[in-house]
Amino acid sequence: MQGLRVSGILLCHAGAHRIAFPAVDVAVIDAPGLHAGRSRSARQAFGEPAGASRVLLAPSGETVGVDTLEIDAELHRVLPLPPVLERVAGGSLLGFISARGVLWPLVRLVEFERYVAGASREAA
Amino acid sequence: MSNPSKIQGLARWLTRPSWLGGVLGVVLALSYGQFEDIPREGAWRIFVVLVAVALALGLGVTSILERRALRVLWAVGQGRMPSTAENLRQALKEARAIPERCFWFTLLGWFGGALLVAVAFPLLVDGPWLGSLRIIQVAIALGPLNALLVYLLVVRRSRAAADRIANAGLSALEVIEAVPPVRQNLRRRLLTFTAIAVLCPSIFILDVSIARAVRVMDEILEAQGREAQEAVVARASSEQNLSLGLLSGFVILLVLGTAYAAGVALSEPLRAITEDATRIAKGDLRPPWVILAEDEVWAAAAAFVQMQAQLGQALAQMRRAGEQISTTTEQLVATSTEQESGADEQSSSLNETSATTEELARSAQQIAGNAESVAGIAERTFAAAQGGQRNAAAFLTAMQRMKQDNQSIADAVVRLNKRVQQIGKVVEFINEIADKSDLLALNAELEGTKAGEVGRGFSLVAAEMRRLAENVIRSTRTIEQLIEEIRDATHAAVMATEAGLKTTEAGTLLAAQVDESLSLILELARQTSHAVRSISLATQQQQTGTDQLAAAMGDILRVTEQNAAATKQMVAANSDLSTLARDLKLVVEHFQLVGKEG
Repeated sequence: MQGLRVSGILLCHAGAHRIAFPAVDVAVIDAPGLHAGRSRSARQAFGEPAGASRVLLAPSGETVGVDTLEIDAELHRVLPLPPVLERVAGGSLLGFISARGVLWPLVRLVEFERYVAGASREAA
Repeated sequence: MSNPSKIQGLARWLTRPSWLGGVLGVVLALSYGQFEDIPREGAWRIFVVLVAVALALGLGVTSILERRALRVLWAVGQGRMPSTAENLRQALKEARAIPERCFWFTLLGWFGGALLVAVAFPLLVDGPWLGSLRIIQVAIALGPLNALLVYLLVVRRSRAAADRIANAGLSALEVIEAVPPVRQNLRRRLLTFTAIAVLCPSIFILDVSIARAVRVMDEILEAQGREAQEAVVARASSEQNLSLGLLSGFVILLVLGTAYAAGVALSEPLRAITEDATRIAKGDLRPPWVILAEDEVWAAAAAFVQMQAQLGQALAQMRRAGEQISTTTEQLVATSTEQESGADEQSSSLNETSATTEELARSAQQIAGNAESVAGIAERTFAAAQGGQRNAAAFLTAMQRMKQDNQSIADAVVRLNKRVQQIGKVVEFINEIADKSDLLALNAELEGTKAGEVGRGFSLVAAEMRRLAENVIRSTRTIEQLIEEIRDATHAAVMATEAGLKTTEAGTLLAAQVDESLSLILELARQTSHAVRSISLATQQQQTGTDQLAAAMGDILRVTEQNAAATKQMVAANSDLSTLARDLKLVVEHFQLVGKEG
């Protein structure tokens, strides 16, 4: 993973937390009303109540809701992960990118959705 | 003398002394005849028979006359007539008249019998008529005396019989009314009694003396010689002296008995009157009882009984009057004392009342002035109330107009609210479109990004569109905030308008009430003004009346003081009257009224 570069990133906010998804993982951006009761919220990954203003729909059908999002078309270098963090977030975390002057955790949408679903079941 | 217990047999008992007197007189006459030898030798039998016949005829005639004189008493005694008051009065009259009638009946019997014997005896014995004259003379000598004795015996029985009849159902006053004391014959009766008591024995003794002297003279003349004549004189002086003395003594005894009976008959009622008078003088006034008597004594007894009855009535009336006077006087004293204290209190009260009246007059003057001021104030109040009512009416009109304006505002605010809601829906629709445009721009930018360098321009356009959409969204949010504020403002305006409407309605109602109250106040002020005018007029009249009252109170005070002085004098007079009543009561109580009063 060292020297990995990626362009086309969705810079999202879940509550006060930043999270970034590769644009290739997202098939469609929908309104939450179209997926009411079926989409997962990214807030749940940070132990916050569910809520979203936009829903990211994966090509395989997984959905994750976020509060805000921006599309960054620039090329960014992915900062590698230390080994201790490889299994964090269910193995969905790809690394960190630096955009808009801050670091953003870059995660895969499908794995993150599964991770959020597992975390929700544990919390329940 | 035994009294019959009832009226029955009273008439027979009453006339029984007639028989006794008749028999006594005949015995005396026969003794005299035998002593004087009036019938000659051998004629005694005829003489006695004639005397017996005369006695029987006399007693029979007397009995018939007495029965006729006591006709009602006989009938009542035998039960042939009822014992009514009228019959008792008639019987009483008969009983009271019978003594005098017995006197005359006895005298008639004596003279009739003597006349019969005097006429018949010479014819039967062929004797001299001189003997008849001596028989008549003896009848004249003994008849009145015997009749007087019968009268005196019957008169006492007559009193007892009258008392018995009166006890059968007549009061003392009824007895007096039945036998009124009209005849005043005491002098004539005493004269008759004296004449009989003196003349009859004198005639008797004269007759005896003359007859004896004539007979001695005849014997002396017939005697031959002095010795024979002396012997006649000696025999005349020695013989028959005892018999003549006995006969004379018997006649004197008869006269004395008659005199005693007369004295008793006269003294009995006087003694009874004296005893009653003494008893009355000692204060023992019993119911009057009749003291039966004759002539002036009967008049005195009747007057005494009437006086006793009148005295009883007077004492009873005096006692009642004394008690009534005592009671009345005590009440008068008590009343006068109360009146005296009341007069003092009244005088004191009148003094206070007079002062109060004068003060009242001053107060009335002040009240009159104040009433005049109050009348002016009342008129100003009336004018102010009229102005207040006009202002209240104007206020009510303004409030009604304000109510209409508020209602218009409320309607406008409601319409505005509806328009704002419609704007909100439009803005919401725009917002949805902007959101969908933003979402569409995002997806376009995503696709352009995923296309790489080829889709860069497309991404830029999409990003620009997205910014426009976001600007629209922000604008619509601002509009939504403004609409929300307008909605809140209109809601507040609606609430305020409704509150204003309610307040206006309350104000209108209040204004109406104020208008009504002011109308009432106006009416009351008008009435008050009128009443104050009346009060002012009445107060002026009251002032005049109070001045007159003060003057009258002064007069009343003077009269009351005079009354108080008169009441004190009345109290003193009543005290004196009470003392007099007690004295009168003591005097009356000195007499003990026994039995029924009057």
